[in-house]
Amino acid sequence: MIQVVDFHKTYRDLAAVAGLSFEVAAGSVLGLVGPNGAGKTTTLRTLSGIIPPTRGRLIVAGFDVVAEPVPAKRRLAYVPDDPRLFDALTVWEHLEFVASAYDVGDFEGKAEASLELFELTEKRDTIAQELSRGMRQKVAVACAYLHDPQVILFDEPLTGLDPHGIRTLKASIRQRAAAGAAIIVSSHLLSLVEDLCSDLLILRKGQSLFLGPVAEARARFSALGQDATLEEVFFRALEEQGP
Amino acid sequence: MNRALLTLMKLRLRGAGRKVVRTMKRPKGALLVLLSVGLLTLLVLPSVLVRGRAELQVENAWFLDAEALFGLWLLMVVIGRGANAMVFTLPEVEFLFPGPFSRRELLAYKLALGTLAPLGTAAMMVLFLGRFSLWWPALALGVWMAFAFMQNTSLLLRLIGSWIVNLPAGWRRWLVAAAVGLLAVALWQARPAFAPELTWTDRLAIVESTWPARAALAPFEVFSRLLQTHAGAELATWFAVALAMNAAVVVLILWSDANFLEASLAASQKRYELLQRARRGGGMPSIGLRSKPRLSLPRFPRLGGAGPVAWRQALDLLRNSARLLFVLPAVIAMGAPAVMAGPHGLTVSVIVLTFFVSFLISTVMPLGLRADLHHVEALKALPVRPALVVCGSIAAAVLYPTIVQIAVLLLLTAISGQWPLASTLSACFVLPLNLLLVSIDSVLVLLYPSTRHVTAGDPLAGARMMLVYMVKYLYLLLAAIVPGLWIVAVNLAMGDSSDAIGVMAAGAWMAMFVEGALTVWLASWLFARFDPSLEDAVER
Repeated sequence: MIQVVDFHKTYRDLAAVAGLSFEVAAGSVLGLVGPNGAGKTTTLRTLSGIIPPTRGRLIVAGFDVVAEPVPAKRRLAYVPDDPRLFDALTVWEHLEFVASAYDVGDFEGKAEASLELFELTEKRDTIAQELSRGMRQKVAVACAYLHDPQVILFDEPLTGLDPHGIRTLKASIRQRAAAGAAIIVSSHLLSLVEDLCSDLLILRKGQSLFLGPVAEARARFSALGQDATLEEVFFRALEEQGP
Repeated sequence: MNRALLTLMKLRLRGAGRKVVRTMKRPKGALLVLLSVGLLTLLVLPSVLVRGRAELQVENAWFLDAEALFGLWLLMVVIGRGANAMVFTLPEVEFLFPGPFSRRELLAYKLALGTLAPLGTAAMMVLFLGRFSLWWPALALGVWMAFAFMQNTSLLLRLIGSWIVNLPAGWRRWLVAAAVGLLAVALWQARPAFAPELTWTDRLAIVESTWPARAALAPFEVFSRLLQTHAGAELATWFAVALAMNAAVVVLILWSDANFLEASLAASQKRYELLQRARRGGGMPSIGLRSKPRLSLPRFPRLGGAGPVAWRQALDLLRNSARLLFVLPAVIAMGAPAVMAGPHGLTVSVIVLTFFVSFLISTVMPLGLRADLHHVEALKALPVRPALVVCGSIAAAVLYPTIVQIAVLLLLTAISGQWPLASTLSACFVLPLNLLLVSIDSVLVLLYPSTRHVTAGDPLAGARMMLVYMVKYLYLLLAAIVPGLWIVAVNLAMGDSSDAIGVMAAGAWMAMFVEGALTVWLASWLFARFDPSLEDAVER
């Protein structure tokens, strides 16, 4: 469902991402982890068509995001790390706009269900400016789910969420994956990645240190034993590659 | 245009209207709207009253000439209004860029906004400048078309720039060589204008008669004619030409379909950071003067807690606007010889230029508690008495313009070789003047908490900003009453001897300082009672 081949992104002399290749199958959840500046957000933003790649192919649901951006974008949703909403629009108006953008007919039922799922029903007519950080995050996720995307990209999705919101979001990600969506979750919360993801991509300085199922990561760094936490695996991977 | 993007425009318009209605429902908001309407009436009244003498006023309307319009366009290009046209707000970036929209659709959306926005400008122009026009429909249509053209051509230039940057180096070299060649031809054509015996007016006339200048001015001539027309048929003709020119530019932009997303994203991010910095209190987003954060200051003595607060704001001002300390005096130094050679002479120039600095700095930069508005929770949590927090915040903000003004005075002395009495008096009075300006601004921000820079989607932001200025300068006028009365009384009692001037100045200085101190006390009292959780204007 997601295919990235030899992806490079360069800013003048800085290589944010260098030769990255990976695939995410339908129904899989890929955890994207790495230290600050590893290229996680750049990868997600390029996949979502916000920024162009310097080189390489990025395929979303069979469409090249550079050559056929509109069909690709129609099938994906991107939830940024600090979602900014339109200040003067209400929560419902955001959903109304997204429904119009993705041509979701009869969106009201879905939108109501999404609002209820994320405990936003009471905030339906509240303007975005008056929402807390966590509420904005929930609105962004509700908007992302509205058109039933085949590919969902989350950048630090738990930031600002309350415990109920965290549980709901995790359950909804599992549910979307079970329904066939390919999902990428970029996060510094390794426990979240361990909890949700079937596959793992460890990035550093724009390059892949490890790509494969989470269980394989444990096997690869077998010195840690099969009970090793993802945190231990992550630090061992970074140590093995040197500074 | 894409239907969803039209929906977005409609929803945003509705949101802006809702914001006004919500504001009006609150007493403070209703007062703001009432005052805005009153202010607008006062500003529009002169236009209405002199309508009968329109023909006399039209003769003075040099700003409707093609040359003036070209100058304005050039300014828009230089200060990056084209880049503004490409700047999407961050919500737009996050919702529209990953959305199912083609680049052309996004460009069309921006173009539609860029073409509709000058309608507001046109309405304001008709209200304020109606007396300079023979026929208001011509003025309205002319301003609309001219501003849309300026905005769109500026955007087109930016897109061409993006396209050139992505060309192979060889092509780029050829294009640069062609541009340099064109410039050389234009300069060659204008060479008679460099004769030393000519006046500036003659030189300008020679340049305007060259074919490159005529070609550059030609499109603006259309708008100038449209603006100054006063007959239906003539209006229809020039409007059709102006509309066709705008349509051609729009077609060119859509045809170019340049891959602007990344450049736009970078510009949007930069704009967001500038706005955030302005809201935090540093920097001058309008002219982007900012130094690297390497400059430092020794810690100030604690002074009960006021010292660290003042140190923090001083450091912020130094790091965000340090270049202003050098650039502003330099700009003034360049203009000073012409001003001092004018009819008012050195004395008046000194006073005007020094006080202009106060006005300029307090206009373009949030100072005092306005600069600290987004830190107000942190400041209130400090183990420091509210009065000392306010004193600390205001002290640095008063010292900053004072230092710039002293630098200006020294520069004027260096240029003129004289230190008139006006310089001494100005040097003495800038401190209480700045104290009054910053302290009243701090009082106002505690009553109406908002940063000065206009917030996108807030239609009342401009009105609020104008009201703040009006109240501030009205307060200054009121504050001048006591020192003024003192000066009159001393003048009556002692005449205008040098002793009398000293007594006048000392008394007036004391009066202004006491008034400033009382205003600081008022700000402290308000700060102690300020509840940031109740103020939704304090953006989080």
